[in-house]
Amino acid sequence: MAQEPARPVCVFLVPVVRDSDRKPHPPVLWRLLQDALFSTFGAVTGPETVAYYRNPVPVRGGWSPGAGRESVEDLSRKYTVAVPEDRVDELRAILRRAGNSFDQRVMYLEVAGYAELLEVRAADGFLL
Amino acid sequence: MKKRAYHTITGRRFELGGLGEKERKFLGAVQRKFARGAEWSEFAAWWVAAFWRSALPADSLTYRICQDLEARLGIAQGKVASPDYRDYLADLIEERYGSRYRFCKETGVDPGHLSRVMASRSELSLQSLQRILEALHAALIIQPEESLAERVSPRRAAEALAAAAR
Repeated sequence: MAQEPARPVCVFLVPVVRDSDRKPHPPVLWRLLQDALFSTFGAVTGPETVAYYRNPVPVRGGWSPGAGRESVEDLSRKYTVAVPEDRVDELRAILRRAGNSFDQRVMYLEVAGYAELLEVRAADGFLL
Repeated sequence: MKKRAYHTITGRRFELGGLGEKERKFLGAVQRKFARGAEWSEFAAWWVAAFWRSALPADSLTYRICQDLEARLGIAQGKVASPDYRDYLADLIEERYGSRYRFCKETGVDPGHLSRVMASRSELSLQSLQRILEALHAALIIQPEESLAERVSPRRAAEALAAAAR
């Protein structure tokens, strides 16, 4: 029997507050994210609420708010999904769109243990 | 006989009478879990896994009901904002047009602008809102905050689910 190719485990964080005004997100955004993940990848593990740090130096589970600014602790939702290697870019695209929708400058993603800080650009669009 | 229905935080009504055996069983498990109380994300992780195991289709009403229950917990626990006009529009668009893509195509609303509005990155002018409401056959109503708090409470949803399970 042919063995299914290994799927890298991807972990990503979605902060529970907006970058600009630190207010919580409206319900519709969590729904759109869930719909996008469910329709694209099916099974997703999580979310799990975790503490993370916005630190001047990028650290695991954090991002840089800019040199000289104080780090603050925030809550984030952590999701885990095993994605075929050739579809990790689809996950990156969803996260960039989620970044715009959730008002984040950077999204944290780990692919098979390697951390990535995805810069969010206006051209990436929004969750639909 | 009184029809069993579930009302979402935006007032969308889901008839529960037509649910199949598998959906009723799943909703029963959800009702028991929800009644025990849970942290917002813990409940979310639980129902997503349970829904996946149940092999119910993504368009099952139970999927939307679980998302609504999750939102109620998030609002009650201060981790999710109370619904504003965006949530009402999103629900009405889904109910009447199926998708935002189709809604924009049929009404001429700019999808990019609507996405920015949904993400709270832009606002609708009163004229634009009026035009969208006309397309959705909806009206703007101003209500006191207390009535909203009652509508989004986890308790109200728990009661509706318990009644449906009887």
